[in-house]
Amino acid sequence: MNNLAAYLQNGGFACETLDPTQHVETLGVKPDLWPALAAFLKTDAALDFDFLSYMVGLDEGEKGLSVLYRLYSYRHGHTLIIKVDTDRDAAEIPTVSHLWKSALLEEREIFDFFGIRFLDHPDMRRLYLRGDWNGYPLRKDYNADPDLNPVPTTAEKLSDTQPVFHTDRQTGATTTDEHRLFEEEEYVVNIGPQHPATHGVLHFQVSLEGELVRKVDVHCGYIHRGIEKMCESLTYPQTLALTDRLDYLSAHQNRHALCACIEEALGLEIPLRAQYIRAIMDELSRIQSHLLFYSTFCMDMGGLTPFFYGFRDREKILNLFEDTTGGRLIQNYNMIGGVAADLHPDFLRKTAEFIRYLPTVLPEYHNVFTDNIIVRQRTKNIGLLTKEEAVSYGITGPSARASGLSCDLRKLQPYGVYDRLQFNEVLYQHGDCYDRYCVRMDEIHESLRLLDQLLTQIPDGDYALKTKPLIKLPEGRYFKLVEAARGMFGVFIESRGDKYPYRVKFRSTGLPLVGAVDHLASGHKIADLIVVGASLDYVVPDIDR
Amino acid sequence: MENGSLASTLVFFILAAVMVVCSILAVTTKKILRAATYLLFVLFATAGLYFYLNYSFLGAVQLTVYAGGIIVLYVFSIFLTSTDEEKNRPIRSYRRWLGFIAASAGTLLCVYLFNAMPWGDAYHAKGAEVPVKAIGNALMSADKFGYILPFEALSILLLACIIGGIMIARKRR
Amino acid sequence: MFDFASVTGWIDGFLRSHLSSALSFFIECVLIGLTILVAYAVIALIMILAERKVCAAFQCRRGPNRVGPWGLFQTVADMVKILTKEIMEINHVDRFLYNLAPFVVIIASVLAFSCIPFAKGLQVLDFNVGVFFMMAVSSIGIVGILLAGWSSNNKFSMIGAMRSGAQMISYELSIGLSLLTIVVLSGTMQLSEIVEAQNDLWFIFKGHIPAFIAFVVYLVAGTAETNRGPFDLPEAESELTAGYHTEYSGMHFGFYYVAEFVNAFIVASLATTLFLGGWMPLHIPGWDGFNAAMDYIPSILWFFGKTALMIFILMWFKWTFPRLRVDQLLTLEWRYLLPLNLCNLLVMVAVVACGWHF
Repeated sequence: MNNLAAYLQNGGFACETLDPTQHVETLGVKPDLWPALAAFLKTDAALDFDFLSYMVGLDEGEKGLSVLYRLYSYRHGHTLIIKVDTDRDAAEIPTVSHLWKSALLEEREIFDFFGIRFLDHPDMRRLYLRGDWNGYPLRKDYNADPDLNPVPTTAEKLSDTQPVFHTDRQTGATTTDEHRLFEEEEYVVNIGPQHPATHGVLHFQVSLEGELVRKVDVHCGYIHRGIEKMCESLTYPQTLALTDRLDYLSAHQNRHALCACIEEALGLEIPLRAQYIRAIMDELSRIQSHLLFYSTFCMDMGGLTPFFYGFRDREKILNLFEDTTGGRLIQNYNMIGGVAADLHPDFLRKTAEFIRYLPTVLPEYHNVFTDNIIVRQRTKNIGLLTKEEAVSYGITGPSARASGLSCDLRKLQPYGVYDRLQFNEVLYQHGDCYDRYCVRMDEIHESLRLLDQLLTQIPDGDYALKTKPLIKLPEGRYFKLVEAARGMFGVFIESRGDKYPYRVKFRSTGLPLVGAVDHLASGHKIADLIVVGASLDYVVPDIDR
Repeated sequence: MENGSLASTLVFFILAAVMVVCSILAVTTKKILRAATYLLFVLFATAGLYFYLNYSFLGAVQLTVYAGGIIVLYVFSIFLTSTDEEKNRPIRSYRRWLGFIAASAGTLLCVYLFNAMPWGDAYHAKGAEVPVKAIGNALMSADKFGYILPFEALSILLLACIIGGIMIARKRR
Repeated sequence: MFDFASVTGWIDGFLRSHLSSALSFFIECVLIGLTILVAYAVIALIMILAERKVCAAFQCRRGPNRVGPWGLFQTVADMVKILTKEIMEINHVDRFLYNLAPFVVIIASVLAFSCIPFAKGLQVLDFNVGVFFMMAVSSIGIVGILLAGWSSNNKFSMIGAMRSGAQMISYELSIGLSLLTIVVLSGTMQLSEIVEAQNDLWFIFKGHIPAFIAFVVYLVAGTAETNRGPFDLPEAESELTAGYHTEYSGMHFGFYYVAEFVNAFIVASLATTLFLGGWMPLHIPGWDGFNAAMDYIPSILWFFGKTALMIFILMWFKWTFPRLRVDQLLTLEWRYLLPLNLCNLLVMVAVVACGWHF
């Protein structure tokens, strides 16, 4: 929609247009106006911003703290960024978690990093750091003195209360309420952080009634490395090394997003061959990620034999990676301006062989697992996620496409060379664990189709541009989204013109997924909780960053 | 048994000692699951006694019904019901009296049985195993020493229990 | 056909000619106990190795192949390792019950193991209620598992124990009824007589349709009874980490592990004994030459061959199927297997009463 600001002014919302240079319209709004505006943006038929794609906390020094909300409308396909400013000392913003469920965890993250309290948010605990952590690390005045936060030698006593902040209508002062997380007599089981089915150090506190799951509470942060904070003290080429360590199964796509974001900011047009190489690597990554999904999904359901099938074939892709990039899990291949090295001489031949090989073994996968009646009964109608819920929880990627949400960025906002290629977006309608499984299995076929085209079309030429050793981004805010193996991976960079980024934010593909686990698994059995978790296919380092 | 009365007597006394000691432990221990475990040992020893007397059918029944069935049921009910509060609740006085009366009655019965029992070599196994066929025929026969009536009465009782159980289970939903 | 009774008879005679009757009886008891325990351990080792090899074959791997030729001594090395491992002391547990539980499980397993007729004349316990006795002693194992779950002071153990209890109690019905079907056909519960009765034809052929149904139900229920996949819910590692034995270490864990494998062996050997003729060679009425030729194969080979086949089938289940959910597990038993079994028992009674069997 053109001229959103004017439309909102007519609706009675005073907001100013910021950064007219940016290609996404950015509006600034006062915190007290924000709840009404948010409700209007969500419900107005002409706007219909149903998807809060991510929130970024910012420390603007003298000007105080602020939060960026990046909104998207699946119906109209338009994007809007809202910037809400708040005071540094009394940092308070009304919550929007009742409108967009994805804000439930995102607001906790911002509270954790910036100390901004979201009023009326039902659960204002810290998300990643320990409850007794001193200071808010992403504030620019954060004191990183190790004496303030010594390495703990005792186990953390998990808080069993959820603080809620309200504003008193009369006085305007902030009051605190505490809700109990679990009642005294509830049977609470810790699934994780060391548990075979959480695929890493994720921690679910599960309240059980017999075998039934009543409530799931997610604890993140066991592998939080402060990657966003680290980026602020690294030069742009140095930050690249960290993206592979987020979602290590989408390493190429993540790095692709960061490189593309920096290249767009610099206005670089990278060689076509490099773009093709990136697409090839992205699709290979997607296949290996889905193969690993298949393996772990089977293993979580107790099928150990299919687990090895998936790993056997994933190994072949890792060998392809190793030939060209030298890395198997962490490849460090994309560079600003292209890729680090040209393809290995054998790469095209071996990849073509692999494309022919994989479809011959996939029927075996289905014979041993998919067609099994136990599998059908355990996955069908388990963990139902409707399309609206998927949007509200901010779920993207295969998990959302299983609910019929068309959200493939390669189709919606084609980047790289994807607009030159023929492929289908895999959509299922039911939104249960079985559909989430099937989407990924079908996407393997689509990726193979893409690879086939990429390999025939790939042109000769340079694999990278020559870039300056010292890269400085022009002042401004830059967004880039790519379709990673498990959804929309986003990079946000705020540059102040230095050789270091002022603020970097990675939109995690996994955080919305774990946010929905409680909703999907409550009322089912423990075994279903495991299947739901497996079908969502989160990667924990990507959640914790 | 033909292997001398010494070994056979020894086995009997070992079994008897296990039964006595575990019975006492079962009622003196403060932990309810331990009590169930000691009771299990008592039932094992009883089964052992049956095997020792060559009543292998009775021994197997003892193991299946009591050790495998009743004790598992006890343990399950302990799992599902026991809380910390119950452990510390004092026993009411009328219960003490009831317990005392029951214990006295049991003692009197034992004394009477001790007197009435023709001791001799009662704790020595005699004869061969009773064939299962004979047991089966006795259970299902309507002759003078046939057990068909008690057998059928028990079947009806168990059927009533099953129906009752189903009713209770359905009511909870 | 070689009769092992001649060997045992010779040992008995040898002892009695040199020692008093009571002493030789005592020595024989000790010898038999030792033999049973050694056989138990050796079979457990072989089972574990076989499981690893079979599972490797299913998973396109090689399995253990470094210790000894074809990795034959891998499980021996594992045994030495687990024997030397420390047994952890857990805080806040009922020590007595915690330490007792593995022994209850292993005793139940050893008792059932000693009823198996391994070969002609090679059987330790042969009661006239043999089948019933095996059922009885194997039901003791549940108590051990429940005690382990309770006394470990761990919620996963507790859930695992509850699952295990519900599962084993339910599936015991199916096992019992399918065994009863064969008891109806054979007319005896004594294992040695059951094997002898299959001299002319194995029961699975003799009792044709009802026997075959009972055989299938028995295999399913037997898999469930031993907590093997796809019925391994009590120790579902992706849900309960290790279920009821989560907190056990060293040889205490080893007892559960060994008992589980030997229980699978017991289930397989009982299937062999009741349905496939035990140690009895394949005899077909009327084919005298063929029957005589079959008799040249030693009975112990027949027994272990058939049992190995059964074990392979159990492993095939485990390495192919994913795990069931607890409600599906109970539905399978109470809604499908149990009614099927009851009807099948009636059919078998009709078959036997009317003499429709071979």
